Amino acid sequence: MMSEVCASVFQSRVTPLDGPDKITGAARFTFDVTLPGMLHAKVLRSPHPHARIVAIDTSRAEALPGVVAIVTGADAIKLPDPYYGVAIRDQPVLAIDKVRYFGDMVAAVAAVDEETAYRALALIDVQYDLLRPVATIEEALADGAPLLFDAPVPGAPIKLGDGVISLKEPRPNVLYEFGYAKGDADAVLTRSDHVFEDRFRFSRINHFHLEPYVNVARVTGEQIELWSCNQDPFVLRDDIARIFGRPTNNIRVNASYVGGGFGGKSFCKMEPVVVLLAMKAGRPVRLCLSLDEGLLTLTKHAGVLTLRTGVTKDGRLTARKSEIQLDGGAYSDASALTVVKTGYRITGPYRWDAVATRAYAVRTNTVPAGSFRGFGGTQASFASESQIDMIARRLGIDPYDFRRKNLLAIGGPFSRATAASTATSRAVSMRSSNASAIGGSRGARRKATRRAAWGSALG
Amino acid sequence: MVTDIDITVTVNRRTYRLNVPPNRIVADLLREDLQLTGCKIGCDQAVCGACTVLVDGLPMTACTTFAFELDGTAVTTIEGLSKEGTLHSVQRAFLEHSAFQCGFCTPGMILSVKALLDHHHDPDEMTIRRWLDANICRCTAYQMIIEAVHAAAKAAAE
Amino acid sequence: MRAEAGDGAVFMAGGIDIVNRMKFGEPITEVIYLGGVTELCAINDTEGGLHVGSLVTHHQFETCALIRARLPVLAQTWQDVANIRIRCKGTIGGNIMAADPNYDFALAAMAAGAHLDFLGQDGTARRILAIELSGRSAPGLLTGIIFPSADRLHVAFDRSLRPAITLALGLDCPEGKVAGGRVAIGCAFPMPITARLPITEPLLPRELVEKTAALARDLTVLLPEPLTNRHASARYRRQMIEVLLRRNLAALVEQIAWLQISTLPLPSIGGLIA
Repeated sequence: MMSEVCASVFQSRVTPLDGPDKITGAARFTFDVTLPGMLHAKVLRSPHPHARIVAIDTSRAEALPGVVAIVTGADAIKLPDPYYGVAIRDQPVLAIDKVRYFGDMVAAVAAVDEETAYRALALIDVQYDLLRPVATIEEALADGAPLLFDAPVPGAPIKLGDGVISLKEPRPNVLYEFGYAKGDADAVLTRSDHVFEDRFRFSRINHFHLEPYVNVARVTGEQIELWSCNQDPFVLRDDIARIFGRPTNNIRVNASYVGGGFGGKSFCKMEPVVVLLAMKAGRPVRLCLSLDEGLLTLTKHAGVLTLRTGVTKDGRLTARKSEIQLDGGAYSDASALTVVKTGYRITGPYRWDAVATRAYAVRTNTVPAGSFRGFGGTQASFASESQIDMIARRLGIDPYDFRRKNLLAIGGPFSRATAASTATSRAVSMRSSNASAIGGSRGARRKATRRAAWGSALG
Repeated sequence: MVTDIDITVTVNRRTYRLNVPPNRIVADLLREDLQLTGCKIGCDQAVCGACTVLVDGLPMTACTTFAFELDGTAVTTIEGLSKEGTLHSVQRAFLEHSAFQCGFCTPGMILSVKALLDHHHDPDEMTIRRWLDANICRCTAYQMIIEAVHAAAKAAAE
Repeated sequence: MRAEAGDGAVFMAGGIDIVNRMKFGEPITEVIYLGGVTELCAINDTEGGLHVGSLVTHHQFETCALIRARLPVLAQTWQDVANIRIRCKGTIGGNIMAADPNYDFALAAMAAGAHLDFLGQDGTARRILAIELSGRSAPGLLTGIIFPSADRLHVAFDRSLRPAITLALGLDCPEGKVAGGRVAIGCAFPMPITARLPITEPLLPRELVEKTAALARDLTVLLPEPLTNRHASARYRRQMIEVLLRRNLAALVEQIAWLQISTLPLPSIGGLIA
C-alpha cells in the first residue's frame, strides 16, 4: 500500500520550473554574467607544497599594458579579517606569509582580457624559502613533523552537546578533534564473544562540477555586489561582511542557477579575492577558474577509519570503538563540520551497549578538503556498513538478518553521551527513517539483501 | 602575416559574414560575438562535451575549434533547435523525463542526442551510451537522459 | 610554406591537440591549416594497396564502406576510439603525428605493415614503413597511409586493457601460409613499440597454433622495460603483454585456418579478429 503510493508519486510527471530555461539555453549561470567595463582576473598559485614567502615583486606585471590591478597577501593583510573557514578560520584571502599546498593562491591579476591576465601572471616574481612538506596523515603526525601553522588560528571549536569533546587545534598538525562516548566501550569489548578490528581507507574525490568556480564582483563606494556561483549566498554574504568589515546591508549577493556544486561551492573559495580585486581596480572583475584549478581548490576528505566492533556469538552488536583520521589538507574549510558528522555517523543506525568515537582532521600540505555530498556521512557509512557485512559473513549470518537484529527500533533511544544536543536529536530522526526504509516492504528487503550481498562479495 | 580572416557561416539557419582573428575560438565567437550563451565552457580541453555544437550535423567541441574552420559550414546551437517557439522533440523529451538537474551540460547533451538520433533512428542502449560518452553529466547519473533519448526516438518515429 | 614559417609553426588537421597545447602555453605562433586540402581526405583502393589520406577523420574511417569491407577489424575498433565528438574532428594523420604512445592509429599502421607517405619541405615525396617511424623524426608532412592488400593481411586490435596496454597484431599470409607479422604495443612504453614476429619460415596456420605461446614469450622477453605509472606497473604490463599477444596470436591464427576451410561469414567472437 505504502509502496504503491510512493510509486505513483515518483511516476507522475511534473515539469520542473527551471526546465524551459535549461533545455533552450536561456538559463543564465554566474558563468554567463557580464558587466559593462568588466575586467578579467587570473590567479597565481604556489608551485611548492610548503614554503615561506620571502618577497613578491609585481612591478613587471603591473607595467604590462592592459593590467589594471594586482593583489597579493600584502593587500589581504590590511583587511579587517582576512581569514575564512567554518568555525576555525585559517585560510587567508591570499597567502600572507606562507604557502601551504601546491596551488595555494599567492596573487591575483585583473586585466582587460584573460590573455593579458595570464601573461601578467608569468611576470610576477615570487621568492620562496622552501620548507619540508607533509603529504600524508602519517607524515603530518610523526614526531618532529614540520608544522603548517606556527600559532593558533582564529576561530572556536563547534559547540556540541554535553559529554561530547570538541577541540580546536588540540595537537600539532591536528586541526580539530571530536570525541564521543557512551558507557565503557573497552569493558564491553573485553567481555564480548568476538571483537573485530578493521581498517578502511577512503580516497580523495573532486566535485568536478561542470560550471567552474566563477564570480563577478563590483565595489561602488560602500556597496559590494557579488554575482556568485556559491551554493549558500546568505552564508557568503555574512563572510564577506566580516572579511571586509561592512554591514550586511551593504552587500548584495546575486545567485543565479548553479552549474553543479555538490558542496564544492559552499563557503568562501575565491569570492573574497574577487572582491579585493574589484576594490583595487575600481571596476567590476570576473574571476573564472579553470576546471583544472578546481582540482586545486577543494576535494572530499580522504581518511582512514579504524573500527573495533564487538558482537555476541549469536550476532548482537555490543560496542564499537572508532578512530577516524581525516586528511583535511592545508586549510580548514568545512573540515570541522565533516569531522563531527563522520564521528556521529560511524555508529550507524544500530543499538550499542557502548560507544567510543574519536575523530579528527589532520593538516597536510595538500589541497584543502571540505564539504562534498554527505561530508563525513559517506566516509562513515562506507566503513560502518562494510564492516557490518564483513562481521555478518564471518559469523555466517545473512547480512540483512544481521542488520534487522541490531537496528534501532523506531522511537528507541540513540546512543547518546549524556543530554542530547540538537545535532544528536537531528541524528536520531535520520536513523529512524533509515530503519523504517529497510524494515518495510518485501521489495525493500530484497533490495537491501542485494546491496548487502554486493558488499560481502567485496569484503 | 597574421591578419583577420573572412568567413561565411550559417548559424541556426541565419547566414553571417564575419571577420575573425585567426585564433578566435568558436565557443567565444558564439558566446561573445553572437550572444549565443547556451554553449557553456566546462573543462575547456575537449573532454567534458559541455560546449558541444553541431557543425554540418556532427557534434563538435566549440572550445577547441578555431572560428576559421567554420567557413562554409552550417552550425546548430541549442538556441537553434526550437522552431518558431515549438520545442524540438529532444528538448520536449528532456523536459518530460527531467533529464537534467543543474543544466550546465544540458545544451551540449541535447545537441549530442539530436545528432545521435539523426544518425541512428532507433538506437539501442549500447549505442546511446557509446555516443553519450562524449558528454559528461555530474548530476543525473545519466539514466533519465537515456530514457529521454528512447522517448525522443519513439516520438520521432510516430 | 612550412619552410618559411619558422620554429613556432605547426601543421593542423583536426586541431584538437593543437588548441589544447596552445592553451597549456606551448609557444605555437603559426598554424598551417590543412583542412582545405581535399586530396588528403580521400580513401582509395589502388594497385599498391588501400590508400587512406592523412586528413581522413576517425569517423570517416570507421564508416567508410571500403574500410569496412577490407579492414573490418580496424573499422570496428575505431567505433570505440575516443568519443563521437573527437572522432568527427580528429584525423588519422593527426593521431599518428601527435606521437602519443596512448594514441591508436600508429599501432594499427605498424601492425598492418602499412607505409606512410610524406611530403618533404623540398617538395619531394618520401615513403617509409610505419614501423620505421619514431618520435617526431617525421620526414615532412604526412599525406597518406597505405595499407597492403587485405586478402593477404590479417589484423587484430586489442584495447581491452587500455590504458595499461593496447596491442595491435598483423599477420601476412601469402598463399595460405603465415610468412611473418608485426606487433605494435601502445600505452605501455614512452613511445609505441613495434616488433616483428620471430617467424623464420612460412608456416601453415595449424603448424603455427602450437607455437603461439613460445612466440609470445620469445617476443615479450626482448621488449624493453615497460612504464610504471598510475595506470599499471611495469610488472603487470610485461606479464599482460605476453598474455594479450599469445591470446590474440592464437585467435588470429585459428581464424585464418578457419577461413581457409570455409567461406561462410564469421561468427562474432567478442574479440576483434578477422
